[in-house]
Amino acid sequence: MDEAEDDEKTRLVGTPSSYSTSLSLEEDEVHTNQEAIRLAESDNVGIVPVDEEPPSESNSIRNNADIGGDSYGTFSPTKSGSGLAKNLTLHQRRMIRNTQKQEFKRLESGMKKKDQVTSKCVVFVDHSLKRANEIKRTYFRIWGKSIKEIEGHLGYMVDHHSPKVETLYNKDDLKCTNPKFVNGTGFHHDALNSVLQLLTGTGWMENTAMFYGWYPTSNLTSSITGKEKTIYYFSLAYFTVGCSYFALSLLLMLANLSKLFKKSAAEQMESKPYSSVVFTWDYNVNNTETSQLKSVTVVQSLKEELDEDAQEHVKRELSTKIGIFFLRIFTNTICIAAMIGTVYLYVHEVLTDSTESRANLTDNCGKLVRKAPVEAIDLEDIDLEDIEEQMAAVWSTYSASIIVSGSNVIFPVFFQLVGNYEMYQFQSTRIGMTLFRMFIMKLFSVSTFLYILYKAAGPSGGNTEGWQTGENTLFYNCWEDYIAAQLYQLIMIDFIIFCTALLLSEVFRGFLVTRVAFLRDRIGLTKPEFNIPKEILDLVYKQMIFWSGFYFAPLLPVLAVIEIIVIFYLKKASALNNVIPPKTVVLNHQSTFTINGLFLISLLIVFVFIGLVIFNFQPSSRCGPFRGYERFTEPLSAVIEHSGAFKRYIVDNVKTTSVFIILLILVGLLIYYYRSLAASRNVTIELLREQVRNEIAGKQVLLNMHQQGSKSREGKAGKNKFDSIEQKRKNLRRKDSRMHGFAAANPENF
Amino acid sequence: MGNSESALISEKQLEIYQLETFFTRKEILHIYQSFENLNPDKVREAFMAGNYQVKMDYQEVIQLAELKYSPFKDRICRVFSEDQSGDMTFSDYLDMLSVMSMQAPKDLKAAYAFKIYDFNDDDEIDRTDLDELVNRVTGFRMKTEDVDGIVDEILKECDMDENGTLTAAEFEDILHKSPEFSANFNIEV
Repeated sequence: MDEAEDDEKTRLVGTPSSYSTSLSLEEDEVHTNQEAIRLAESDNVGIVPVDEEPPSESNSIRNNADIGGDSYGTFSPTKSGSGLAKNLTLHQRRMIRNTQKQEFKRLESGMKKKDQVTSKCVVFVDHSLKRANEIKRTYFRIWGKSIKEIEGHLGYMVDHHSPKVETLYNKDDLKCTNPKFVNGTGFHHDALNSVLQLLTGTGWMENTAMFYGWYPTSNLTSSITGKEKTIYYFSLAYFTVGCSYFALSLLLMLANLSKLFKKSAAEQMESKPYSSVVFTWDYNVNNTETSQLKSVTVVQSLKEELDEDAQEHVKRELSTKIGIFFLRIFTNTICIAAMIGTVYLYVHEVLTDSTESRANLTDNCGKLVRKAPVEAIDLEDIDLEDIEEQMAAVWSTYSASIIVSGSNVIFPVFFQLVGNYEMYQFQSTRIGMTLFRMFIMKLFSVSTFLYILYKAAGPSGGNTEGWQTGENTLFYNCWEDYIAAQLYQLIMIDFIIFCTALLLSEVFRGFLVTRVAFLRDRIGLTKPEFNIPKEILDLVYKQMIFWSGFYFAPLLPVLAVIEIIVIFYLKKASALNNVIPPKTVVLNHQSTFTINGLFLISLLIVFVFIGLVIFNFQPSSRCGPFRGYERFTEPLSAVIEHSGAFKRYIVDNVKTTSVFIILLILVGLLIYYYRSLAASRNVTIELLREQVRNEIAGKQVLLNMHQQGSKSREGKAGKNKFDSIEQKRKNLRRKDSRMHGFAAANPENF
Repeated sequence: MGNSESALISEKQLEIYQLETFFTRKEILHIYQSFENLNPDKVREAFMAGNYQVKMDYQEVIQLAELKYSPFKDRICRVFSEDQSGDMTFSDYLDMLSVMSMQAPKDLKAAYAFKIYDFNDDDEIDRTDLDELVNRVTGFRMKTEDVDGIVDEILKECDMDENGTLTAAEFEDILHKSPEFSANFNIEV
């Protein structure tokens, strides 16, 4: 092979102009690299000649934007070379690369020393970027292999080169800049006790860095740096870290959202339902089952699309419409009633207005904790009554969490059943409604949970008395710890219920389907479908809980990351064995946009909760970095007051409403401006489309005229007869060269 | 495992491959491993003798899991093989996987997709091509009238100059707007 390469090398050496003299070519384009390509093509027998793309600006920009490691354009001095060289085989590219290398060397030797150095620098930077990209790809691809396995089995699902959801969690962990310390003291010898306390987040857990209460109010001083001692104010640090974390999450999400909004708006305008289904076949499958399923999916979506188009003209009768209307009202009321019912149930269970019953609550739990003996538990000593009492106590501590998590598992099934009965015309609306209801349910349950916490922990719940005096302080040192512990419990219980649900719904059902033939053949029980939007909603829900807990339990993001990793591997194991691929996977920008929107909504609700807590409650005086202060915002305001007059002036004025109103008006104006810009761009696009059509039509007319003209002129003895075909083509092309678009790119039309 | 493979492909060759494809050294070796698994003796023998141009027959190539169950396996092999017969050398194999990897730019993929879907190799996708395409993608499950209807719709959506065929530029324009295409047009070994 090397000899062959050498042969071609010798033939290709030399300037581009030497090609055109030595070989017969068409006279049109005279770009250097294109000549080499043509030569390369003609040498290889049987290679299909490549369509040239018009080397327009937008094309080359697109190329460079898409490229994450393009190797072609490195040595080419012209941009058009990189645009055209990519449609070739390895062999052709090798030849071109050698040509270009030599050309480059020739050019370089003719350059001044300064330019030589610059060109070498450019090449070096290019190489380094490529190396960096490679390293990033090899080492930072999280879960690459696992996702590949899943995708091979179930088809393409997730863009795992930019894992959005995982970055959401990872950035949580990285942002946690509080100095982290290892678990504190308070180690109970009794294992059962410890486990219980791990679950409930009390006792020894309270003394860890996990919970708010642990953080000291003293200030760290460092005597290392320079002349003055720098003081690290813990309280201020805690507050600022918390706020900046939330602010950063919000900003990142808004940035992402705006990017997606643009893309989804563009997408909506140019939706091509048929082509996008037919041309985007998933090449990732590696077994017959999935392949079959994919083609069935394609059939279904095509049929649906055809039906939709047909039904656009077919309206339902009035009577059926009314019937459906009432049916839907009925089903919607059922759903809402169910939601409100569950919510009311656990509000009633948990929230009480009297401090007395809360004292009872803590008493029960106190009993639970204290009853577990220091010595080992004897099995004979266990009484039935005892167990009942203990169960009741367990229930009363965990009831809120269990109801919330349980509802999030049961309701999706319920909503799907309801959706089947509602007689929607299109699959997409049915799926959309189900997802919408599921999201509302999750949002509702978490919000009510937060509301309960707010009530229980707040001053109206008898805060000052319940937590800080007397014997009942054993359980929670302060109300912040109570909130943190409750959220922590919710997370734990949610995880346990999730595992149980996974076991039952996927593992058990998969087992039944494979082993018990009766169910599969007679009843038609199948493995459950892998429902991606449902999983995503689940993630949104979990993220919401983590957000609300973060301010009170700063190490929660670490827990979140651990939980996500465990859940991923559990789901992966289940997905490879027990589920069938989803019927419809909607991956466009619009759906991603909606999902990010859901995240944003949940974040805003968390903001409301945290904001209310920060501004309305008094920090407890027994624990936490804010003990001794009247309000949470005190450290910050203290800092502001101590700083210069200018800063004080700014802060004072920013807080006023007039500034807020001015900002609001400005934002409104900006929105109006961008909206009109977008509308005018739509008009321009339509005009350009018209123009393309007109030009094509115009060219056809010219061609017809030309043909007629040449026919009529053949009769006369004119000098035009002696014009060669190439000459005539050149004339026509000169007229074409002023026209853009597809017309110029299709020489075969002539 | 790594040592034995890298002994079979010279460093210089690896460098060249790295420049020409979108892969890193590790990935190229991994791909070589899968290539070898198609017919271990033949490949190993040839490579040890320095013959990098050993061809795998079409029948052997389609043993690859990702290709075996694809409705387009014959087109893929044909388009990427040097002599259009479906027999692939290691270069062709690398080329194929490089184009169908995550790192390849959208335009490159679109260009090759056009070649794959052009069943009669006449540089444009006309009605017969689209017919065949729809049939393959739906696993020959749809009736001819439905298929014709769908082909009509596709031409309506994509054919800008309304001449009844899709040229490469129109095809690539359509695919450029679809975000799923570059995600789905992937084969990973």
